[in-house]
Amino acid sequence: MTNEKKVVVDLQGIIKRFYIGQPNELQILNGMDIKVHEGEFVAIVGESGSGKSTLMNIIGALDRPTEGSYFFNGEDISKLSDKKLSNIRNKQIGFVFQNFNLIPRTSALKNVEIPMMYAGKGRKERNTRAKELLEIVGMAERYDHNPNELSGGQKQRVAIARAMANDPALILADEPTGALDTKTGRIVMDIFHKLHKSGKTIILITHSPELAKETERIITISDGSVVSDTGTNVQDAGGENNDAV
Amino acid sequence: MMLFENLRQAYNSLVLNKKRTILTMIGIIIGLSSVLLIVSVGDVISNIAEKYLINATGGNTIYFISGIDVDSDIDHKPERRYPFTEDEIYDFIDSTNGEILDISSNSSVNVSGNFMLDDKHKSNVAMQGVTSSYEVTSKMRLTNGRFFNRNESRYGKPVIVISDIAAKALFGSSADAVGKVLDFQGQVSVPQYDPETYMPLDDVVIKVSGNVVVLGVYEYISDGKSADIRTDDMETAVYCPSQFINDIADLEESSSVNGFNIVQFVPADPTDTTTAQDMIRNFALEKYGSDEDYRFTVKDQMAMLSTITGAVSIITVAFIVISAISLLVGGIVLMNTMLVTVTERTKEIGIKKALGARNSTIRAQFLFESALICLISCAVGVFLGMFFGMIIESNLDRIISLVPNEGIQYFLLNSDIHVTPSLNAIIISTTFSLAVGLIFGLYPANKGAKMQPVEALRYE
Repeated sequence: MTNEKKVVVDLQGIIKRFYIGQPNELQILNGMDIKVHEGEFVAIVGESGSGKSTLMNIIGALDRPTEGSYFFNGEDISKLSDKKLSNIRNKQIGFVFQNFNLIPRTSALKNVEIPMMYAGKGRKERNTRAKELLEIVGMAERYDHNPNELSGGQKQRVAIARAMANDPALILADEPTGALDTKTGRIVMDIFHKLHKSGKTIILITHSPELAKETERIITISDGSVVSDTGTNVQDAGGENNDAV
Repeated sequence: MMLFENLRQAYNSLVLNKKRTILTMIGIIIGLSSVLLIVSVGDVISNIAEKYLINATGGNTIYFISGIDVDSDIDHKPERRYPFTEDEIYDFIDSTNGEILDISSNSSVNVSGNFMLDDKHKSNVAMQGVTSSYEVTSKMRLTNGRFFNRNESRYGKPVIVISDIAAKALFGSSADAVGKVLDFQGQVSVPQYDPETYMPLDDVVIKVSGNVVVLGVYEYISDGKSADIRTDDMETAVYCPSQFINDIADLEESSSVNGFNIVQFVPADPTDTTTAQDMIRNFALEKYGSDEDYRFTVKDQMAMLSTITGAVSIITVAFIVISAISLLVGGIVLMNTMLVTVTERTKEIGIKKALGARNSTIRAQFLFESALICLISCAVGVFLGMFFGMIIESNLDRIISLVPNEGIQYFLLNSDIHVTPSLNAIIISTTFSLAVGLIFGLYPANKGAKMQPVEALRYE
């Protein structure tokens, strides 16, 4: 069963080095090629030190690769300016972190509103959308609570609502259940499944094989290289980056 | 949109670190209130200098100094070989078609003693020698009769103008006083100066007596504004032509001065004295212009005043610079605090960048915070400035009593002094502190703005 889908993330020969030119120069990513299509739920699995976090930073446009090209929705963003990258993070990528990373002393509602504020959306629009999103993740009745008044699971649900704020092309989740107990972790994973069903593209970064099994595709990395990929059942929709997987 | 959010976050941050915020603010408040105080005091001094000069001489008079140009050779004394006689001066005034009213009497000579109608009615007051222009320059209001005219002034006629209080004491009413003759006896203290050094010597006391005719009665106003400041120890002053005192006390003899080197002219229009000044210049050059060495000064009081206020403002600026140093220190404290704040909130910066905040967004947020610190400090500083001004104002009597000159003391007590910061001072200091906030906040804000999102997110 194959169908054609747009390529959201297209990494081509990504190399990342640190301390360039110094005696302790270090190569973390050794030329990675990864392609993720629209609507896919992909897990990137690897042990600590495998280059997982560095890869996530590059996929999330938080960092630039040393070599190689990164096409996001068909646009090469590997050499973009800080300003343009922040625009992409704002509108195209939604982050969910292991330790929630909500802004302290700022209500759940305001936290969800922040990406929309950066996108220049009006106060009323922000407010309505933020309430809708909190409703979706089941946090509607706690929208005026500050992060320190919320449990871990509740914080993570607010974080997911925030990631959805500008309706991004990609949701990037870094160990989203890592700081949660099994029960609340389950609730969070269920939300991701719900989002996936509604058509969202999700990349889940984790060290846990069990969690990865819940997704439809597992990419395993080790020592900065892709060692296995369970493969995709979709084909690229047109365009010039038409390498077969 | 962003403005309100920035304000909310800045406020949150300030409240979160109350102690640190307050300590930072104290630095700026001290710097700011000292700038404010200096500016206010400078304002007060300029105002007082202006009022004092105008009050002491009664309006805008023109100084004529023969034999010296004060702008080029300030150290020299006016040369005695270029005097003008009284007749020459009065003839000149007559020729100005009313542009110049009279010379101004700055004579400190007066007669103290008794004025008697008969044995029962006497008044122990002082008779002050003035010129006819005094009526105009002192803004005196006559209720009955008239003031003496220029000729009576010039030739020293035995005529006087008394206050309504004195008129009532001596004659029963103001209307009854006009035209009456009074006997007086008293003494004149003539200040003496060393002709070479101008240092004051012991006064010469001359006994005088005679008859005078009451020409007019003026309305006495007790607040000191209508009275010459030299009348501070008298109940109400009696005015006569200064030439009259000169004649009865034979001052020409005792002062050994033949003619004047320094004359103060009273112009008809105190607001525009250019025509009158030109006339005085021509008058001076007519007599001595052929002498190549001849120098003279013609300046009106406003010009003298601007020299003085100019000096005051130079001193004020110097003090502002000095007190601005404390504001500078406050700025450095602010910078330090903001650097700590930025470091503390590295993680938050990382999160915001991940959510799509631009560098400029982060920079604006921290600049907002430092500006807010400065604005709050500014409000407190202005409040403190007003508070200290009020304290100084309510203790003004005690402060003035420290002034060594009694005449100036009297003047200060009777002038309306306000030591509260002017709007100008408030605007200057607010602009200053806002500038401090932005300048010293810029470096920490930039530091936060330029953080790499990955590193900032990793910060714990």
